[in-house]
Amino acid sequence: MNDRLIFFDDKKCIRCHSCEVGCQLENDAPPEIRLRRVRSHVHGTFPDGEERSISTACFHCSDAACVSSCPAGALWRRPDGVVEHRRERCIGCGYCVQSCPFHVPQMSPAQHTMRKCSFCIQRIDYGKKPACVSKCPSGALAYYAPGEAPPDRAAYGKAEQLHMIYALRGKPGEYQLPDPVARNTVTDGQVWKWLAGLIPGVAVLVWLWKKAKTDEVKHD
Amino acid sequence: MTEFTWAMPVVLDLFFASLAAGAFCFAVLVSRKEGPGFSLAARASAILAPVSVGFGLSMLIFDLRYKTRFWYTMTIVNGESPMSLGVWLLTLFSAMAIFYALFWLPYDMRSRIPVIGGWSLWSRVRLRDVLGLAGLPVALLVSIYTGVLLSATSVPLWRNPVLPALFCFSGLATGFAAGFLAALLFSPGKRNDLLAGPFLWLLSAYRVLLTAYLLSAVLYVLWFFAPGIRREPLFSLITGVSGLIFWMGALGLGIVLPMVLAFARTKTGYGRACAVLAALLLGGLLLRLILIYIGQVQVMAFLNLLVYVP
Repeated sequence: MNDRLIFFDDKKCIRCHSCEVGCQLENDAPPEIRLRRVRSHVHGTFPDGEERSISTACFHCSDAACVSSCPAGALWRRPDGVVEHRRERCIGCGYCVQSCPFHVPQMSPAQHTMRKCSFCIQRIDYGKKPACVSKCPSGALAYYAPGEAPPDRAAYGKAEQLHMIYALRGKPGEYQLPDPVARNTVTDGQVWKWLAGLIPGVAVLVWLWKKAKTDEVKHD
Repeated sequence: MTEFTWAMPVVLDLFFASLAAGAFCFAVLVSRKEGPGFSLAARASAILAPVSVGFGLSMLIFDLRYKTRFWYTMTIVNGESPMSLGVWLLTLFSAMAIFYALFWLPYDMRSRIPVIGGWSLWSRVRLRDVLGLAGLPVALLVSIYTGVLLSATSVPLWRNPVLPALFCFSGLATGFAAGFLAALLFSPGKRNDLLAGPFLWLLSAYRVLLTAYLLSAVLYVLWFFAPGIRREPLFSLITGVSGLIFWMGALGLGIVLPMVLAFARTKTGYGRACAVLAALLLGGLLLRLILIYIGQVQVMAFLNLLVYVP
């Protein structure tokens, strides 16, 4: 595999939030947003309930809705699979925030632009690991550079070629992840939506156009 | 993080952009008819269109977090993005609406515009009508784009293929009403002309337009009952306070009340006609307002952002 990958193992996560902190510091993120979020969910029923956590950030989709939605060319997909957000191009319209099926992009009022996980390109391009992976004390997060094969385990998003994949003990829905993995929401059926507006719209407009003429004849 | 990504400026942009498209269509359609009232209505409506789309566009820029970078959208064309397509559609439509309005501007006002105001082509009626006809599909696409823009997102309440048609008919209906109200406002002495000709035509147009509008609103609600679609988003829209605004405001004031006017057999007075058309405008605004806000509240609730501030 020539793409970069972050692999999360639900079993190893100890809910220490080190990845969140490392990410915030590395990426100059203001406190009102979280580029990486550790989310905890209760699984099972009392008294056998168990709290499990996942560390979520951008999934770096192969067919990313945010890249499709951006009207300013601020988002693009690098050849190594990373969806890069160029903040100097971002106009802060918020369309990627609305279109991402995983609700990843966040609007930063302090920085006037969208913010999301950058895959720490400022680190990985120099051979280092992303900040979240290097800060993880339990090995729940692992980074695979191009050419390195990830473990041969079933993982959420592996078949869909997401670049942040999850080995989970339960169903994805229990972790607030869309199941099945969401496709590109923007391009998915967009042509039909244009047609669904155009066909009835044209029909009514043509009727009105004819009406504006036939009445005239009647008046005469 | 409890801030709305899209707030009032986006609501106003969606409303005024599609209203401008509707007003442009009204001007073009009414200009085909003969009679003193019709040209008054066409003139007011044609002049309203660029003003309305200008206000909508300024709201769109005002909504950006980086307002000075709005022109970045003019440097690329992203055919997959409804917003990028919409930017170009709005640019094309604005240019067409401005030129179309120049044809309709009274001579003494137009002659004060430097350089282009003195051109002789503005008195060519044939050229004006060709521009109007060419602008109709663009105006229609502008009103549809506002629906596709929301429909292509991941917000469950907006992800509905009926939304483009709903916003298209809403835009046409509000644009027609606004165009006619503008004519009444700016030509107070010609009220009888306007009520005799264009108003009757408007009512007959509304019989079809509002029926299509109501039908698309019903289909929009029914879509959530299709197999495989989550219904919870709809229920939080149509119940409680938001339900009151949806049923009484968007549907009651915006569609049903004007439909009663359009299908009524008795003659309608001046004051009542104005009130009903104003109600239609308010209904169109409330429809966009309630959809934009409730859609985002649902996503925030899903992400626990409303109860848990990290």
